[in-house]
Amino acid sequence: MTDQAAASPARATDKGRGRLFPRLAFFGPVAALAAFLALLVIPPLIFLVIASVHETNYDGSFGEFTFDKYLELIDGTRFLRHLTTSSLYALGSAFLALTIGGIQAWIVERTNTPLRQYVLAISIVGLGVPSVLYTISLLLILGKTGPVNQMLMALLGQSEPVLNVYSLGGMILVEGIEYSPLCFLLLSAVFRNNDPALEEAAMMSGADVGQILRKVTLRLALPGIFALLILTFIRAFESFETPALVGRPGRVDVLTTDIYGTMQRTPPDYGEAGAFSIVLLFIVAALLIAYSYTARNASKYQTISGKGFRPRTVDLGKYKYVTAGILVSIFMVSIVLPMSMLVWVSFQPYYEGISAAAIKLVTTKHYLTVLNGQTFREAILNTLVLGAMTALLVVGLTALCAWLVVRRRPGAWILDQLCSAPLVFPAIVMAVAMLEIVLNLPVPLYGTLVSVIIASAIHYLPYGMRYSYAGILQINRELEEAAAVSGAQPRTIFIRIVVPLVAPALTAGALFVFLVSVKAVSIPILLSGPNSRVVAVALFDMWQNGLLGELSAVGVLWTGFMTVVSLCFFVFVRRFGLAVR
Amino acid sequence: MRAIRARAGACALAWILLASPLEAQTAADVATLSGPDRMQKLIDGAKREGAVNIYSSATQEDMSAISGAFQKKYGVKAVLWRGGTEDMMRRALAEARAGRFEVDTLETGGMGMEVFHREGLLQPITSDVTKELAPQASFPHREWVATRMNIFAIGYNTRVIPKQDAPRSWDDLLDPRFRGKLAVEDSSVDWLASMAADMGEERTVKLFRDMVARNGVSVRKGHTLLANLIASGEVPLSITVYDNRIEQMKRDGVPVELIYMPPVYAQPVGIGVAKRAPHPHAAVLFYEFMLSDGQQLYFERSVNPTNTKIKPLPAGADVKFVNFPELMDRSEKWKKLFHEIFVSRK
Repeated sequence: MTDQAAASPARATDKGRGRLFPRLAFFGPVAALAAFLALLVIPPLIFLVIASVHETNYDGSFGEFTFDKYLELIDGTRFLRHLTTSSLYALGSAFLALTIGGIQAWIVERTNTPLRQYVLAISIVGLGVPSVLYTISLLLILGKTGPVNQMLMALLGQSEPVLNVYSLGGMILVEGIEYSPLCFLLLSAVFRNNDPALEEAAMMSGADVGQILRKVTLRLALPGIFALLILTFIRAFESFETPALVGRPGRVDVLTTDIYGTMQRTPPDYGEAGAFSIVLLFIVAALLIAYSYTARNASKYQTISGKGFRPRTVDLGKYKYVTAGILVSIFMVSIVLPMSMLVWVSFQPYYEGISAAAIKLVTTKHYLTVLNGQTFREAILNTLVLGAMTALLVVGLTALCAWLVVRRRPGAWILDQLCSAPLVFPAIVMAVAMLEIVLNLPVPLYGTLVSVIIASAIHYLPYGMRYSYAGILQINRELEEAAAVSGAQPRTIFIRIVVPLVAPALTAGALFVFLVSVKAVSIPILLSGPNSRVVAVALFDMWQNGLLGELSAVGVLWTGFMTVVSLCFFVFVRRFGLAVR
Repeated sequence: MRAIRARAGACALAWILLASPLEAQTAADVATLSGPDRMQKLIDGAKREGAVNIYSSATQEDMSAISGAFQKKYGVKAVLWRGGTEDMMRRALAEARAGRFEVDTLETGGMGMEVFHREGLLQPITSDVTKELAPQASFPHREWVATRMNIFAIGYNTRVIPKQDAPRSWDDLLDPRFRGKLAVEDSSVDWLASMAADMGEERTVKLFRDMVARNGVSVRKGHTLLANLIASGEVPLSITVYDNRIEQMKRDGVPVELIYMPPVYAQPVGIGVAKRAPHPHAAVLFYEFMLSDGQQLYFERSVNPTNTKIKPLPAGADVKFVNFPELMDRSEKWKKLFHEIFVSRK
C-alpha cells in the first residue's frame, strides 16, 4: 500500500519541480519565530538547568553547585524498578488512550454509525471535568467499597473485594481514560481529512472494511498516531497526580513519586525535578527526530490535494449497531459513570456509599453554598479570558510553525524542538521559573492575568504543535503552489489557503488547549494576583481544605459550564464556515 | 488595569505624603505603638492607608467571611491572595528577594511562618490580644502568633469498626483485627516527628514499621478526600485526620468517631505582619482582628481557634503544638523516615 500511495499523483508532482520562492524566502519569518519562541521557552529552560545543578536554599534562591540531583535520580536499586513501572504505566495508558480515542474517532468520522454526531459534545464533557475530581470519582466507583466491587462480590460470592484499583492496572485505566478525549479530538481531525479516493481504490480491489481500515485509513493517520503516542507517553511518564492518588495507596511507585515529594518539602527542592526534566528533554528530542523521520515522506500522508475531495463514510450495514454499541459503552465508562458519581456525591451531605437509605439524605446545600460563595462569581471572567487567550496564542503560533516545519523551510526544524520542549517542564517548575522571571522584569507583569496567559501558552505549546502539525501534514503543497503561481505571497497563502484547510485540526487543538488550560492549577496559583484569580485555583483550594460534596458541586457546575462554552464555540466556528465539514 | 492601580496608588501615596509628611511610618514604628489610644491610632492610620494586602492559606470562603467582617467594621479594603503553605512560601520569598514589598500580613502553616521568621520577613508585634489565646500560640520572638490549629486525631468509621473494637492504645493498632483497614495522610511528617519527640524515636519508628508490616497502612493524599473515604468506609480507620472535619461529619449524623490517642499534637497556623508592609497600620489592625473577632468567626466556620475560651481543647486530651522551630532542622530526616516507613516498598 505504501508503494501505491507513493505512486499516487500527489507524490509524483512533488519531485523535480523548480522553486517558486527563493531558497531563503522564509528565512526571515523562521528566524523571527525562532527568536520569539526562544524568548518564551529558553528562560524557563535555563531555570530548569540551573535548578538541576544547585541546592535550593530556604528562601528559594540557589546554593551550592552539585551534580547530586542527577545521581539521586539513578540512585540505588529502586531506580530500575521505578523506571520499569513508569514505562509500563506510561506505555499502557498511552495505548489505552489511543485505542479508545482512535476507535471513537474512526467510528465518528468514517462510518455511518447512528449517534456518532454526539460524541464530540461528550468528549468535551470528559475534558471539562477537573482532573482531580475525575480521578476521585473513578476511585469511588472502583474502590474497595465502590459499587463495582460490591456487584462483583455479590456475583462471584466473594467476601473480599475482587478488583484492586490501587494497582498498576488501575493507574493505567484512570490515566488512559482521562486522556482519551485528547486522542479522539486529534485523530478525528486527521480522519476527517482522509481522501476517500484511496479507500475507494482499496474497496474496488476487493478489500473489506477491516483491511481498508488497517491498510489505508490507519496508515494515512500514522503521523497523527505517532504524535499522540509521544504526547500521551511523555505526559503519563511525568505525571504526578494519578501516581499519587491511585498508585500510592497500593504502594505502586514510579519515578515521579519521589520527585513530587522533593518539590513539596521545606525548603522546596526543584533540583531532582529539574534533572528528571532535562533527561526527559533528551528523550523528547530523540522521539521528535524519529517522528520527523517518519513524517519525512510527507507526501505519503497528504490527502488534501487540488482534486476535489469529500470525506466519505463507510457503510457498515448492520454492523453499524455494533459500532453504536461500542460508542455507548465508551460513553458509559468514561463519562456517565464518573459523572453520575460526581453528581451523586454533590447531592449528599457526605459520601457514604450508594444505598436506598442515602436517597433520603439528598440535599442541595452544597450547590447553595457554592452559588452563594465567591468562588465562581469572581473568577469566571478571568478564567474564560485565560483559556481563550492561551488557546489563541498557542494555536496561532503553532499553526505558523507547523506549516514552516512541514514544508521543511531551512532551519524550521528548530521551531519544532522549541515548541515541544515545554512538554517536559513540570507545571510547578514552569510556574516557579515564570514567577522569578516576572518578578525581576522591569515590565509590570507581576500578579497580572497576562503573566498567567504567557506561562500557560508556553506550557501548552507542545499540544498545539502536535495538533497543527498533524493537520498541515495532510495538505498537499500543490494548492499552495497554485496560489503562488497566481502571484500570492507566502502570507496570503498561509492565511487564505493553509488556515482554512487545516481549520478542523486547529479548532480541535484550540478547544483542547482551552479546556486544559482553564483546569491547570500550579501556574495560576503562583502567578495570579488578588485580581486575577481563576476558578481552577479555587477548586484546588477546596480539594485541600474543603468538603468533598462542595468540591463535587463545583465540579458539576464547572463541567456543565465548560460544555456549554465549548459548544457555543463550535457553533460559532461552524457558522463562519471555518470547519471543513 | 495594573497601571491604573499603580497610578492610583502613587496618587494616594503622594497625597498621604503631602497631607501628613510625618506619618509615613514603617511596620516597626506601628508595632511599638502603645497606650490607651493605640487602637484608635491603628484605626485612623489604617483608614488613611485604605487597604490591607493579605496572603492567607485559609479557604477562600473562611477568609472572605473574615476579611468581609474586617472591611465592614473598619471600612478598610481587604485584598486577598490565597495559596497553600508551600505556594505562599514560594511567592512571598521570591517577592522579598526581588525587592517587591506588596504584602501586609501573612497567614499560613507554622512551618511557613517559621521560615518567614528565619528569613527576616516578619515584624515583632506587641499586643494584648495574645493573652486571650492558648499559651502555646505565641513565641518569645513575637513575630508570629497562632490563629488556628489542626488537631491530629485518629478517625474511624463505626459501621466498619464498632466502638467496642476501637483501638485503646497505639499498640492496639498492631492487632490483626485492623489488617487492611488502616491509612495515613500523605503529609503527616510533622506529626510523625512530634510523636517521636514524645515517645522516643526508636519506639515510634518500630511501632509504625510493625504496623505497616502486620496490617498495612495505605497512604492517602489530601485531607478532604481522606475524611470522606472514612465516611464511606473505603478507609475504615486513619491514624491521622484533622479532628474538625470528623467533628463536622459527626454533627451531620455520619457514623464516624474520633480518638485523641496521646500524645495529641496540633499543627498551628499563624499570622504575622511583614516588616516592609506597605500599609503598616492596616496590617497591625488586621492582625489584631484575626486574634480577636476572627477567632469567633473561625469557630463558627468549624475551624479550631487558638482562643481556647471560645472553643476549649478536646476534653481529657493534652494537646501539644508541633514544635516547628525544632522540627525544621530535622525535617529532612523525618521526611525520609516517613517515606521509608509508609511509602516505599521493602
